Amino acid sequence: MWLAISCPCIEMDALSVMGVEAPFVVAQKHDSKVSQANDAAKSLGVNPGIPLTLAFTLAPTLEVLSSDAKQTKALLESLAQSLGEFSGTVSIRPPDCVVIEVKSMLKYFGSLQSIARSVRSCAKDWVSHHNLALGPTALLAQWRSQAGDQYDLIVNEKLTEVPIPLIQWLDKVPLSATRWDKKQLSRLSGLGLKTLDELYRLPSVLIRKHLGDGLYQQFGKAIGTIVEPIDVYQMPESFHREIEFDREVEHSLGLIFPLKNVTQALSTFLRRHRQKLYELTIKLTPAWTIEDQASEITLEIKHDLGSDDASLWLELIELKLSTLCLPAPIRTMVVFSGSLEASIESNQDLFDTVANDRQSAALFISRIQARLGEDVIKSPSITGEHLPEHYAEYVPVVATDVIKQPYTQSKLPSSPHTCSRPQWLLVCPTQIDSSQFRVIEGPERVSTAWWKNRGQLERRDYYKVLWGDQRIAWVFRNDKGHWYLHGWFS
Amino acid sequence: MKESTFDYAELHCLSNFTFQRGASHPEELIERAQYLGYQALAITDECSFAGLGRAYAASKQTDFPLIVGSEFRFDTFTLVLLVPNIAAYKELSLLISTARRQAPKGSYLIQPDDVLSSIKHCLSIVIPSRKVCANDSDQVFLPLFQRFKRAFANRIWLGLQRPLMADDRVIQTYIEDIRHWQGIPIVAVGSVDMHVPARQPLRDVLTAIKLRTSVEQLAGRQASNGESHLRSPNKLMSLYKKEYLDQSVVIANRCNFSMSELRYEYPKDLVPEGWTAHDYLIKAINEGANKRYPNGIPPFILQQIQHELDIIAHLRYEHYFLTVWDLVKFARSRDILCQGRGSAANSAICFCLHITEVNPENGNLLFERFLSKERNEPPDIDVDFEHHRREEVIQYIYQRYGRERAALAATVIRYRAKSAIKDVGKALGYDEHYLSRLIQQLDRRDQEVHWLKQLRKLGPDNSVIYSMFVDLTAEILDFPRHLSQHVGGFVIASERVDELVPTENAAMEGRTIIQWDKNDLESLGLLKIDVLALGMLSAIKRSMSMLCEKTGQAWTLECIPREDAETYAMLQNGDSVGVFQVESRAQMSMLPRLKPTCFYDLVVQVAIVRPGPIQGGMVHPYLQRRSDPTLVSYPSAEVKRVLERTLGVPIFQEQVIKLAMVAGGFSSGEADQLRRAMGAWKRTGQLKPFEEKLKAGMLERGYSNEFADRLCLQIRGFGEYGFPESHAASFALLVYFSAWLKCHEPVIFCCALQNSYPMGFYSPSQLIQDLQRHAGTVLPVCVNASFWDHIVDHSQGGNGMLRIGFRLVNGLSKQAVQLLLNARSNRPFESIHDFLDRVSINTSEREALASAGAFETLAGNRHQVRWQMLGHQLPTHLPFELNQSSSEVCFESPTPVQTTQEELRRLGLTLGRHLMSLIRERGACRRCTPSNELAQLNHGSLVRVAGIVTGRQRPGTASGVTFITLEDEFGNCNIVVWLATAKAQRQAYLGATLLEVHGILERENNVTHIIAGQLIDRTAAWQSLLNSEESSQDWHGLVPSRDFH
Repeated sequence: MWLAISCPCIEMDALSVMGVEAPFVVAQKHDSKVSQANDAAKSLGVNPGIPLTLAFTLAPTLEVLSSDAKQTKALLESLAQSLGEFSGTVSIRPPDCVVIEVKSMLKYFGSLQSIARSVRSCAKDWVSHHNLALGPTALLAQWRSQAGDQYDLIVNEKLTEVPIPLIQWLDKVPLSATRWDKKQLSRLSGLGLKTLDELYRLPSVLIRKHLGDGLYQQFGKAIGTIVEPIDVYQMPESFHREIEFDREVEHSLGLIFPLKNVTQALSTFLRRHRQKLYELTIKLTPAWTIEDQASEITLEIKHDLGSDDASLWLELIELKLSTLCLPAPIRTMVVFSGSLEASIESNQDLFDTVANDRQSAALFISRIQARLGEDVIKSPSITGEHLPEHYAEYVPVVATDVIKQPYTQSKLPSSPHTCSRPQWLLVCPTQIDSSQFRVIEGPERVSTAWWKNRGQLERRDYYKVLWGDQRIAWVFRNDKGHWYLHGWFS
Repeated sequence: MKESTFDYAELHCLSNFTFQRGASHPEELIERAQYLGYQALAITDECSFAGLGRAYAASKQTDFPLIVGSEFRFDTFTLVLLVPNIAAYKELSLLISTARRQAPKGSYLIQPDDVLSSIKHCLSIVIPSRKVCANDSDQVFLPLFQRFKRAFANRIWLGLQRPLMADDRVIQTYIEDIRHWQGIPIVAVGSVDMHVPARQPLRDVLTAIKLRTSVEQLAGRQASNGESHLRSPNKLMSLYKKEYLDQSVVIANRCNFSMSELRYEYPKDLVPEGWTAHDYLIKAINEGANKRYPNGIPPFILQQIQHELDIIAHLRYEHYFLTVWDLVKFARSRDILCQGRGSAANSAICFCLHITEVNPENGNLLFERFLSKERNEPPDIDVDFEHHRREEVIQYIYQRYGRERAALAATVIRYRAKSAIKDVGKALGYDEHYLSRLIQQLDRRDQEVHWLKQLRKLGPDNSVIYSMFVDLTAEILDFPRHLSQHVGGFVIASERVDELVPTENAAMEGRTIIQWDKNDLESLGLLKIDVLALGMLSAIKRSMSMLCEKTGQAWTLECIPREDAETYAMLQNGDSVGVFQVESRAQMSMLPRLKPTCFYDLVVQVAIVRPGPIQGGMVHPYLQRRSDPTLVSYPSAEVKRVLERTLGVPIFQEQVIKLAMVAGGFSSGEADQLRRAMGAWKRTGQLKPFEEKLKAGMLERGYSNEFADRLCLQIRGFGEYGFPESHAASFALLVYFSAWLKCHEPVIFCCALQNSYPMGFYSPSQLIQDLQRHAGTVLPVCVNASFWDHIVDHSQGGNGMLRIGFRLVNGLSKQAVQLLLNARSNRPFESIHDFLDRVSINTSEREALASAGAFETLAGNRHQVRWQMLGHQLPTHLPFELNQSSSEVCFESPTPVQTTQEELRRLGLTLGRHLMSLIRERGACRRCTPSNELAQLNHGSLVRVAGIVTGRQRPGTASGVTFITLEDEFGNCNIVVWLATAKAQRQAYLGATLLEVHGILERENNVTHIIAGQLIDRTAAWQSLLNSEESSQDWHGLVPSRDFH
């Protein structure tokens, strides 16, 4: 006996907009039709399947989000992990269904009602809408759940005692619930067949002959005449979540909302693994970089005693975020646990000196960082931007990166500006007087990235100059005629 | 060259016709260069002459020297080729064509050898790449440069750029070293891609668009500054040595070529030896005239012909007319129906040459509208051909003149509101869905608030980026985006076309286009013939063929009786579905009001339902005067002569022009300028000076203020669009023919329309329903009786019965049908198995036939048939007997609902019960009046109607009113939805597929429509009827609504 949980609004749930008051829809990237709509949108007449142009006309304030396959998959996995509490055999049926084997669990839970109640309660933590359905096979349970609310679980206390005939399971389940391709469904409709029981009444050998082997196999798996290999869900060893925000998050505490789901998933993951977490890493990628800022913000949240409690981790994260001033709105967020062994010590090969050296280097870096702070050790990277302050950047070194790419000097991408830039660039240009130097070379004119500079297009004319003390400096003059020192060549 | 204290000419400049690189229009560059005191400007778009038309027009207007050239980019250098003389122009044009034709559309492929082998006259500037200048250790550039030096001798320079980059000094040193070593002079070049530095943001956006990314992710791929603009003399003098600047003038002085030197010669092939073009043309005219006037050519026609001949001879356009005549002659020899339209229909010569069909005997022709000495513009003849056979004419052109001498004109696709918002928005990092939403919320027809202002208001307050987005969108409007193929405008030349203008590959295989559009052709004096396609000509031709078959006699258009009362009576009732030009809803409403009784009424009918007359307030006065002739009056005899035939109301373009002359005192030249301004006023707003002059002239001649104001209003209306009378007359002929066919041979006409699809206003389903309502019989598709095309079955006599053809069966290929017909040619199919054994088509196609009900005569139950189809196995050569029997499974016959649904899906129409009748049967829309009973209701009655929404139309002239067409089992209802009603009931208004309307019936002159009050979406009733889980878009697909604004 199998229990299927189908989540018709999972794309919206993954983007956390289901219960929002404003009308939201999800559309597939590069598709011009509404894929899913929240209740607010539906109340305005925006239903799945209508063209977006019509949707906008019906609801001018409609917000459209692109469906995020990664987040949807992650949500489904989180659901699957939770459901692992109720069954030893869990199988994910993308894009929106999970099935669990329940017959063997009856002795633990007592009755199907009990299981169903628990499963419902669990599912509510993850998704806004779900349909439960039973079936003698995983596939049939899945189809029944996909057929909609009317096939939702009706538990018969004596279900396990008196087997239900197959025809009853199939009764009035529409063929569209199988989600077979349009051509196949159109063919069946062209034969006047509308439901699974009608299909079942056809001789199976003729089904194969007339409707093809593919359908025959699928249907056979559903009715149990063909064994369906079950792809049992295996939990990953580490926890990793990546979220790309449709609308960039401007304030650090705005990240708490998506992190709620993440910490909940984390907690489920830990509990399934029976592990405690000591350290969590969050990487935030801003929409743009600003002078002297790294291209990524990394937060390490530690808890010496370890925990698998979602609310505790959320609280720690909130404390960390409350002191964080975002230099720019955040576009993506990655949350991951370190290895559950938590230590950077790893097994060392007796004879592999290179690998051993790498690990020593990583260990050394980690110790320095642990002692002096995570951002102390950085390595340079070229961006290729024209503006000198954006031309290169220092990014924090991550110990694991050192293991992957140790001593080899990273190849700096070639850039036409490489030779013309001073070795020492000042963090902040300093205003100077033109009497302090003599021009040797220039100008090199550079325009600011106007889209970052509030639309202002500023120009700087850079010169190589000879300083009073014979040093060679790099200065610029801006549009207002002011001179600034920006770096030194020697 | 101009005398100037600043000796510099910019010789390397890209306009925005180097798509997504240049950030300024050619005119802006010309104007700016002149302002700065440059000696000359070279427009050197990358492998293109596309911008030259506009550049030339601008340079003529400003009297500023333009140098023609082009840029080519190689791995190690950029080559700029400049044109000093006509020979250089030709070879450069050929080189561009070669490079373009070797590559896919929109790109080019060129090797240095291509240049070296073909360029003997052009001047060249070689600009080494910065990378090479910094490090040419591989010695790739120098050997190549030496080859160029040898080939170009004293026609080669080294180009030095000073874009104020860090490596300028290194570059300059390198180039000066080469100069020193090779003895090649250096010339200063700006490598300009914008006229002022303020265009830099737009240029960066164009770069992002080209690279399909956002400006933020360019990561240094854009230029580091905005120095590539036309710089001031002071700046140039501070950056370059004088000798380098002077070289630019040396080069410019050698470039004496002007576009006006281009001598476009029309093909002379058609004139036989021993004849002059003029005499041969006369011969052709005489022959044609004798055919047109078998009882003798009327004297005034002869006079008119002579008058036209004089003008043609003066302008030397004989070859052009002969070329068009030859095309038309070819078409007629192949029995391809064709007809000229537009202002050419003003010509008696064109009538005699059978190019047009408007008989000058009917008077009112204004040849000068088509061709005049004063205007000295090339003629532009548009000829419509049967749309399915136009390709034969095109192939004839290629065959006759060769692909070197004939090419299609281009159309420049420019940035408009939607494309500008999308491309600029994406370049600034906005999400695509968000941009779609913005576009959807704009009302581009709002006359009070321009859409750019609306766009600005839609954005967040105080967002600088959004503000930039709107500014850049405004800036990019009208920028060229890419070249596309003109619908049918051909340029034919006596020599190679690609020596005149470069050609490149079009998207369509086997087609090449020139790089100029029709405006460029006009300004450069090139002649174009439009070889157009018209679906109605195909339909009429097919009708003629079917009439031949039916009657056993030859049928031509001349056989159709003229001025048939029955035909006009049909039109007066607004019964015009399928009739050319008058089948739209607006036309159908006008017919009962205008009540055409003669051919000229049709000419007026065609012209009056246009934005021009509507906006100009001509419609009601005209209709009023038709019903009450006492209202007709004229302020003067001159005005009467112009307006008498239209009851004192100007309806045609020519009337407005003539009025300007007789009432306003305009000369013919001024009148012609007015005509141009009328056509262009929306873009340039140039009507005002004419209006003032016109009004002053009229008042001076004693006309009243009121008359003057009215005429000015009408002129502005014609700025929207109005028809020339000759054009309306050409179309009116087809209106009459198609109306006569519909009236007297409805089955044949419907069959011809269906076989000529796609065309016209209505879907095949609507045409079939219209035929059925006119008591026509339609037979279903049948494996034993149908062909690919629809046919008329005359076995029962009368008008015949229309047999649906296989062409409507979705999923059935022509090849499969051919196999079927081949198998059937021996004997008909006797059973399903017989069919399956004899016709080897794949399962999908068999299913398509079963689904379409094509086996009804063999086995009534299409479910059962389909089952049999699926199980059938093709016989093999192996000695096994296959058990094809599947009789143990019985399927129920489909219900009427299922039949209707299946037919709509498979054929796009149903011969079964209309969905509305099924819906009514089940109780939904019970209290709604069917469309055929509306005639019994009084004007002003409260009424309820329901139907499937087949059209939503919101004309720009209608102040936000939407016209909705509802179809039920008896016909169509016209619903009028005011803007406020639409806004208040948005969901039903926009989203309903099945709509119920409660409103008030209005009737005027037998035209009935319903003013909507309440709109109720009854789509759910349809869904429950079909009892399916499929999502809503499938309902839209079953009976699609034609929504347009």
